[in-house]
Amino acid sequence: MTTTLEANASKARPSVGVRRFRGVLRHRVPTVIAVLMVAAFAVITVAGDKLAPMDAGAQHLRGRLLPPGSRTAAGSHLFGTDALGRDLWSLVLAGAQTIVVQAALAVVIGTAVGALLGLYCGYRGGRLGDLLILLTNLQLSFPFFLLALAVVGILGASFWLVVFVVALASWVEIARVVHIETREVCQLEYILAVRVMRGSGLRIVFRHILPNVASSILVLGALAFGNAIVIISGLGFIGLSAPSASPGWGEILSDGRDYMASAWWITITPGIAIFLLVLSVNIISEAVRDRLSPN
Amino acid sequence: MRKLLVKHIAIGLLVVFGALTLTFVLVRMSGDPTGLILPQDASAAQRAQLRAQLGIDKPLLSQYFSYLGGAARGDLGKSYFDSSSVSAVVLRYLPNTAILAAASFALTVLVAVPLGTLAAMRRGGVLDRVVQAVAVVGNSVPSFWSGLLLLQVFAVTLGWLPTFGTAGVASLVLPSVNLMLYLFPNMARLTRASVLNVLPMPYVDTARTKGASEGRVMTVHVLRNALLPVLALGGVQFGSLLGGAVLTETVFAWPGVGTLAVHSISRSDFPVVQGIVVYVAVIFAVVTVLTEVLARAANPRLRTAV
Repeated sequence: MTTTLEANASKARPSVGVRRFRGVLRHRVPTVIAVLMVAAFAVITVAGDKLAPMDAGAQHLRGRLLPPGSRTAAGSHLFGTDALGRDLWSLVLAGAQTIVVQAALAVVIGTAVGALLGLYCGYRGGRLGDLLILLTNLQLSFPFFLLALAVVGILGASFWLVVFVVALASWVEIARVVHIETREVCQLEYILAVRVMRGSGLRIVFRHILPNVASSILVLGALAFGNAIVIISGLGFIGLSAPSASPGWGEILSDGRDYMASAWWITITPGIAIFLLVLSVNIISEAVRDRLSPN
Repeated sequence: MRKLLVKHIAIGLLVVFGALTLTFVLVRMSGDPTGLILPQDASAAQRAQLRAQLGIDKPLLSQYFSYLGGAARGDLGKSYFDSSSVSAVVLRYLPNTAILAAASFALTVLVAVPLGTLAAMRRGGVLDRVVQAVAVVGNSVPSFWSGLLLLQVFAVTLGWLPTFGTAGVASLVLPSVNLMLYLFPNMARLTRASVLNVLPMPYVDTARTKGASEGRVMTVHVLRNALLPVLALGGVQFGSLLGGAVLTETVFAWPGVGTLAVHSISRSDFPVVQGIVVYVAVIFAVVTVLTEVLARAANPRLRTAV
């Protein structure tokens, strides 16, 4: 350690690359941490059940409600055990898959639909644009979570129904913003120039307009993902989650409610998982927005 | 401007109509309710009789129109399990939701508006950075988890406040604080941004040069204008609170429409769920229109424009 420090001190100034790297680190520490967190969650989503130190489903009735740090024959329970003696850390790792995959699918679908509608209606304008504005206004005139609750509650939770409902939450904001921005871009002279040159509508929309609105799609898509995680775990919390091999984060939290006086740790671990994932995604979204619009 | 008001009323009516139609379709899609209501060994004759009683033996379209007709007269049908009408059930829970909405909204305004304003006045200062950081963090905490944490600390561990129910003002504290945490980020940020927009206006300088005190400049000249967008956001937030803060009500077992919705879903009492959705659509529309009227009262420029 000391040798490197001395080596650095002996040089007049570190290289441009090193300085730039330090600058990035100094100003963007939260962003770098957030990106690392999201990467970690991605790994957990793909291989959570393999990374889990114990079988998440294994119940040990003699090891129920053990506080964090307890040891049993099965191993060390870093975050404690739940009412069935399941290892909480393993449960949270295994529970990541369903919720993250559902949220990602929903956001991809919702973002694609919202962006395409926004682009198309913004480009064509006229009645079609008015119709899109009316549709978004209608949906925003009702509290979304209650709508999700009614749809999933009455039809019964299934994997794709949850994805569909959450996609419904994601499309509105993106369609609105892309629509407005597309209309602004369409006013610019170079779009007129392409039109004069008889560029096809598809080519204008995808080659000339899309790059201008792509950053907003990225920023809002990231926000929508965080929102999707909150909605899905919220539905799970009130018992409306698709049947899956391992309980989701919302369900574990809900189960933990009955043991708050005796086992506070059950409501901590899954909550931190939700919080960290959503926070990381929000920080990245914020960083992208700051980077793209300086004010 | 009158045009805008008419537009809001029209959208409200459309949303209510949409809510009626959507819930009708959902409930019909959910299948035959006789299996939910009658015991398993009920005879076919009993089932047929119940179907006739519920009116679901008629063609779908005629069911739909009689449902719409009933709704227009304020009749949203009957609960499957409770002999009372859906409206009576919903109206029993609605006052609790209104109390919680009013308390948490008032708390949010009292905390978020001053903090957002101070953050804007000392832009880049410590308070500004703290408010911004709290807003980012607050936006990332799911309301049901923050509710559980509040319960854990203040009700279970410290024992200062009751864990659930409606035992007077004390049991209102934790759910209100929880909803405040949920609403704070957006309101504080909008207040800050809006004040930052107004501060460089020439009339602010004019007021200062005329010798107005800093307090008077901020309240009469800056905030009066800066709060107009906040008012619009407040309308939306208050409307969604009245729509039942489902998760917060569930965590604290607060007997409002959100809890009623969850409870009715868990026992498949779909007419009540249907009724809640329709009532909330109506309430949301009314709040939106009222917000518009308030905005006109607060901002004379809106009255003359258009």
